[in-house]
Amino acid sequence: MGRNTHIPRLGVTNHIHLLRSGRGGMTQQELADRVGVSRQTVNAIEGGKYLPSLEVAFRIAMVFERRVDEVFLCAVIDDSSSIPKR
Amino acid sequence: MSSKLDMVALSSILDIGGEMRCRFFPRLGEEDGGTMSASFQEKSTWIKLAAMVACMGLYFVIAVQMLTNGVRDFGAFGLIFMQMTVLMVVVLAAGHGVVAALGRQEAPDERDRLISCKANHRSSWVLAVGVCCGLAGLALSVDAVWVAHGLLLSLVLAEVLHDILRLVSFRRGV
Repeated sequence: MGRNTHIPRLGVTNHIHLLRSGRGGMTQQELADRVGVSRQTVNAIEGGKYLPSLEVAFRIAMVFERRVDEVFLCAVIDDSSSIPKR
Repeated sequence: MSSKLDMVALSSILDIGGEMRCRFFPRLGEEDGGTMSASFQEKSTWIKLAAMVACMGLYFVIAVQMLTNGVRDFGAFGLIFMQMTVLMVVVLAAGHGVVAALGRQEAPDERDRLISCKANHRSSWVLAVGVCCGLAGLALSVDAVWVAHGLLLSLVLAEVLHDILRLVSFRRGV
């Protein structure tokens, strides 16, 4: 292992808006109440402004009866970055 | 009827900031076709910031006038400080009461805690600088009243910066 390791940067997106629509137009407030966070937090997660903790991610997936990786998707957005390893 | 109208008017006043901010950050206003209103925590931060700036600002205006007039008695400053603190507590209690009555009261969730933690981390240097300056002032034999007010000012400024950073994070993301 060298001192500098190439770690690709990942972008995380989600299908929450789509899944809510598929649930008869579930509102953000309804989802927030079932997950145990504020509606603003659901809004921020949907908009990609906030990455939830694993616990909240699992709770969201459980509401939609899906696996976490069916709700949250990640893709390599930049594989040229070099992050020094300590 | 009148009280209902008052509540509607208060509600619209409290949400004016939210409406304006949604114009600048349109993506955050995508709540099911409507605008994104502020959370309880965000409104609470606005109230705290306004109360802090108003009450402590007033205190420092009075204190500076007293200091320039040669007042050096800690008791005189302490009395005014106590009055402003009580006024701030009353404003905070009334403001939170109104916000809780107009909307739902929510406990802070993980995002609120993260925002607060980051804001705290980014604003603590103001207090540290104030303390260092206070120590330097004591070493240079600066009047204790000035040192005390310098320390208090750094504490207030750190809190104001903390609240501003929280408000920015609520809107722009963590």
